[in-house]
Amino acid sequence: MLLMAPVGVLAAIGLTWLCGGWVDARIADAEEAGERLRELEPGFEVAEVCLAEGGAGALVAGRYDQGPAIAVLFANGDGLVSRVLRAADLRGVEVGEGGLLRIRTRDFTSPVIDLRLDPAKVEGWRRRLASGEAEHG
Amino acid sequence: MGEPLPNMVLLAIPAFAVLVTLEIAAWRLARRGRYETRDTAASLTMGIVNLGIGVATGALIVGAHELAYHHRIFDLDRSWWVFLLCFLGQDLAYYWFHRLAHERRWMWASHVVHHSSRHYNLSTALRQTWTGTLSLAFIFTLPLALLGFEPIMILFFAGLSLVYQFWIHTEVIRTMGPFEWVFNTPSHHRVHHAFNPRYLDANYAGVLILWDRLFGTFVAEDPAEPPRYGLVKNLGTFNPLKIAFHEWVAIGRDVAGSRSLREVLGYTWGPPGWSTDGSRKTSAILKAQWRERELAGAAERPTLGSSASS
Repeated sequence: MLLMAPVGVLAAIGLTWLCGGWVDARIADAEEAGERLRELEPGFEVAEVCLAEGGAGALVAGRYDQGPAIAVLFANGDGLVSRVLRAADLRGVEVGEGGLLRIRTRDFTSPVIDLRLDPAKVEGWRRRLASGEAEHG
Repeated sequence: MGEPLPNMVLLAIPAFAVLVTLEIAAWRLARRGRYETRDTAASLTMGIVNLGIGVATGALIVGAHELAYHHRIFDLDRSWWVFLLCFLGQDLAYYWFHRLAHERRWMWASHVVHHSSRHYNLSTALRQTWTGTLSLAFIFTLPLALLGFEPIMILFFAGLSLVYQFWIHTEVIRTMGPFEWVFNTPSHHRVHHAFNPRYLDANYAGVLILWDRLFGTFVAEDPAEPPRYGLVKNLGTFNPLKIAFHEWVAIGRDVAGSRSLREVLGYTWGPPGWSTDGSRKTSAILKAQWRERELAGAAERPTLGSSASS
């Protein structure tokens, strides 16, 4: 019975894939980004949203726990994951080609978060994150 | 020692496969529930490895129960009332194990795995820890062996409880009428898997929801607030190794940075979310903040009387 279990596991995974279960979450607009963040981080007061290319994620500035804060939303499968970015949690923020913002965190499960932003805005967000605007998050 | 009793989990594996297939069909054909391929792969991988670890550590767990049974207080046979008492005792022990697995970080580090899926389906039931023995889950039923219940009977009911808890991990079944009063059901357990602040730390039951009603941890599912499944801080990965060990790694980091025994104890046996500087949030804090927001919202909303007069 135990030896048959891996076969059943592979069959179930294949079946979900055939049924269209491989889906990446997308954010339609700034309003939805705000709504999702408020669900994931109750109490976060959204002030400004910067959507990533194709709605694959977002940076959100606002207030959290009585202080200014920046949060990031990114997709993990069909779900969105949030992180309120505290300065202590950041290992670095880099800008790459084509508007790539690479956020390196101390988070074991998501050490690197890549967002492709409007190239005109990406350096501004890098500076805001690196300067400690996220300090109070 | 009496005749061996069947291993219910092994016997149930074919039923698990059939029910998962039926639930996937219900998702596609009737739009009930939801599956995501990578999430399912992670859950089932966790389940398979858990089974293997169970075989490897089984001797230790059986040995601990045999040792306790060797020093038993009563000699209990296999009459129907002994089976009934053993079922109730195992289910009560499960309630307290499960409650502490949410309230003490050392135990949460193992149990968090089961709650790390953003989905609530039958594959989520199989997303099981690899470090259950390390988190001391087995010690909760040792008093039953010490009382005189046969270890094999205790482990039989532990297996039966796991099998019972499999089918309640579904969104396909809404509510079950009077059954909801006494037994753990899909509705009650959806609440348990939700991270909406109002649903946090509730419904720890294995088979009988009566324990939650008795100890004040019961929360009913509110149709106006659908459960959002997962963790307060959701994982950004489907990697089974990271899922299995992320909280242990976090404990290790916190302990490494601790400056006193009090901090070490807080980070290992305090509630999940405890921190020296208060920069993180326990579920008690999250619930309190939610209540404050609810009260503030209620105060801002005009009552029927005031809106009619204005």
